[in-house]
Amino acid sequence: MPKKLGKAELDKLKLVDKKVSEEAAEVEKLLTKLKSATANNKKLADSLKTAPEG
Amino acid sequence: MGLFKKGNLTKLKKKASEAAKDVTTAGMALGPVLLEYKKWSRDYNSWRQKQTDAITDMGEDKYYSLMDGRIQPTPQDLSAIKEILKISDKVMEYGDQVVPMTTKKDNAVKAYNDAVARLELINGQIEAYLKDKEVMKSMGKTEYKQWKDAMKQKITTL
Repeated sequence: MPKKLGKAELDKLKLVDKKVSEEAAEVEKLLTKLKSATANNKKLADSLKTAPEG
Repeated sequence: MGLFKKGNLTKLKKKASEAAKDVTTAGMALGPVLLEYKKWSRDYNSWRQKQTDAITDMGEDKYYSLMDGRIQPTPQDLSAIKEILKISDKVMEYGDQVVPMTTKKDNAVKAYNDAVARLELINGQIEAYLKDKEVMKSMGKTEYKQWKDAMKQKITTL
């Protein structure tokens, strides 16, 4: 018989599922945030070019 | 006299430009890390779903009984169990990556956030500089001194 993968081991995997699900949701939010931040950073870099010297 | 010596704005602009480049670099590093995490989590979930489906097809009780050795497998059961364990190996392979993948993502997010915080700080100083004359005119002498001291303190944090 191949190695054991019983109820206890499968239950432990549910904790991993939860962690992965939470982190993946955060990653989705971060990807959206990063997309808009990249556009804002470009605007900022452009505005720096036109800011007065002093 | 104004808040900054002549030439300070140019210096700040240079710092801001460098900080903006750091943000771009950190963002370029962060994007692929986030996409890698997304792909990995999808693969993990996909293998988990296959595992759950395979166990459900066999029947949970029967699966656990076979795993615990409470019932003897038929050749058909043995074949199904082997398939489930093959899938489970993939689940474990992906599952073992939870900590390293999460740490890698968290580190990249921190590096990006740190770069953004530094840029925001410098931008605040530039804004203060640009507002300096305007503020000097609009405030009383004491009020202006307080504002000026606060801005100077902010600069030393750089």
